[in-house]
Amino acid sequence: MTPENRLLLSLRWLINLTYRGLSRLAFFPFTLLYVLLNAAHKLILLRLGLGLVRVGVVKGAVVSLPRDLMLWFGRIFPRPPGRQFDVCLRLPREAADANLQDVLSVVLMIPRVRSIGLYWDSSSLADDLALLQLKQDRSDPVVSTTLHEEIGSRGSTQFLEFLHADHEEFALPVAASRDGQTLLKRQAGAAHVVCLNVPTELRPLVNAIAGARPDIRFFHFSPELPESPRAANNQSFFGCGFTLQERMALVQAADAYVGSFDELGCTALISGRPVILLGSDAGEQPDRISRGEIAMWLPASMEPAALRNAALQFLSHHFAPGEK
Amino acid sequence: MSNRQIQGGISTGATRPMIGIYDFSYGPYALGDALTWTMNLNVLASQAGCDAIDQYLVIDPMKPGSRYQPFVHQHNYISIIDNLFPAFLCSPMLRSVKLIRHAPTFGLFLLREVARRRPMWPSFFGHLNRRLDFISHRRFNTHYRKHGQLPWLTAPRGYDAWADAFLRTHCEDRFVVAVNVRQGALSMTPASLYRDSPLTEWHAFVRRAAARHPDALFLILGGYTEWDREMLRLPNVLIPRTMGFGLGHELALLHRADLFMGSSSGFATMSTFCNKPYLITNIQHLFSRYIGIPVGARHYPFGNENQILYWEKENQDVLLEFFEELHGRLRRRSVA
Repeated sequence: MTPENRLLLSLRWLINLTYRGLSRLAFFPFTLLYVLLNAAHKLILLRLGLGLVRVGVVKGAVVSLPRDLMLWFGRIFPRPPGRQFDVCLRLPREAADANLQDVLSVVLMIPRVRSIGLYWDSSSLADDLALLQLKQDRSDPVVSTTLHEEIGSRGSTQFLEFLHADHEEFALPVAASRDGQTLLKRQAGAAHVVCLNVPTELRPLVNAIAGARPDIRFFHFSPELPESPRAANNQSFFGCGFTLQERMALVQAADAYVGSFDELGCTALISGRPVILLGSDAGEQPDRISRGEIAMWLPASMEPAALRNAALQFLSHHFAPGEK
Repeated sequence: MSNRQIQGGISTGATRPMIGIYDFSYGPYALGDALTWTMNLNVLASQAGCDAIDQYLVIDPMKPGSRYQPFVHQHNYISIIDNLFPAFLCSPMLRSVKLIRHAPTFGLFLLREVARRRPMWPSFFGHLNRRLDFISHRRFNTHYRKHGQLPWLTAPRGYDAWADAFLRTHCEDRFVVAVNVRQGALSMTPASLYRDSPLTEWHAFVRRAAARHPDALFLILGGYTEWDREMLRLPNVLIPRTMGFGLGHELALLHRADLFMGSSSGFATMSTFCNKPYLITNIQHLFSRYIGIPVGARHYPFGNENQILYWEKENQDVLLEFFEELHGRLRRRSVA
């Protein structure tokens, strides 16, 4: 064990002991002692190079901030695994998509995040960074610039990186996971369940797939279209008032996912479920991109019949007809 | 904390931020309390000559709730703060909000702010003693008496434009009434059930009001579990939660609505502090001592004729009577 680790362990022991004592003495002057000890602890962490910050800058052009945030997190986790870090997001003052609650939902799924700061002012961010950043990082212009990154700026590269990466860092709240499992258990019993989340232009695909596999229960979060008939095994959860975390938990509880590469698509990849991603975010990608047998990304430009066949083939591979 | 403590750190510079600390080890997870805290920050920032607010929300993941909320623990606090978070976005002066779940990180921030002598609420000493007056209206009453106005809350940051678009799409030319009927018994964390309002009276009221005033559109607010299925069958009703929206959207819609009607609880607090016309019913008599008015008073000291308090349990006749009074006055005003 290195002297640094010994020091860290001793500090942790001291802090834990103090915490246990002070939690029963939550009044002055013990609370002051607690604050001073904590501040000293943080300073030592910074000195030891254990204070890590990730700064994301959000500009007006972000299509879906929660999704882009997930893609960003998938890339910027500090090594080694388990190392905690702070997150700062610089946000535009005028946003049109009303999704700050979803942004927090995404961040809270990462136990390694010690703190999340939302800033609508650059000077405030700079002020806090001076406290959170390592001293040597502040003086090193190369390191300092790599700390900042514009979220959503990497185009199709970020999707490919996320598709091929491992995602052990995300953890949904236990209550959401429990409720998701329970709902599907009540709705589908032992049948296989597939979550559908397809773009509007591909809605006919949903009925085609559901009609071809009556043994599988499908559900989705879009409103029912009155003009299109719905297969009996295809159910909408639209109107059920699920929060983002609850929808994610349902995706996680399902056996497979077919749909957009949005925050639910990211969740399906994180969960390690068989996934078919649909959409045009692949840029110039002419054909499917696969990650082994578990995930397949099909461009939206594919012929509907080819899409249907590819999806059915994929489902048959994972869930043979008649198998439970 | 006294005004003297706030003013101890005042600088004459207008860009100096006010620091707000909401430590969940002694502050509750509650919509009304979070909004009252934000309103206190607004008032204190205004008094201190600040034009920006930096908020610190502090959670210890191992002990995330206060002793008054023992049902909040390390396995469920994420869902609870996730559902409450938009309430902390309602100050127009908000410059940053930090959610910190690492005591050493907060300790360092706190000492920095203290060393800079920034105006802070609760004060450093108040925080050390876990003292936070998040209920009373004494600062608001004093400020209003002195200045004749209050620095009101606004729609949660980032939800303004969305609310405008929603109202254009779903509520064009309607008299929009935001409604919240407190139903603690149906909530995920049931508490103080004696404060609940009679749902059947509200159902009957909505039916009668919709028949007599077809221009009225009722937006039913509150958690998905907190209203019954009968609400879905009522005429002239929209329920944002069934459309996939959450608390941030609801607070923004309340801020834009023509009128709020509901029991005394979190949404009523929002209507009070964003200066909407309102009828707040079923107010706890115990609350009188915290808000500085006697039981039965019709208005808050800073309220106007369209901001009505009703201290008893409501029934459909009372609701309809107040609704017609307010609807008539507000409609006339908007036409004029």
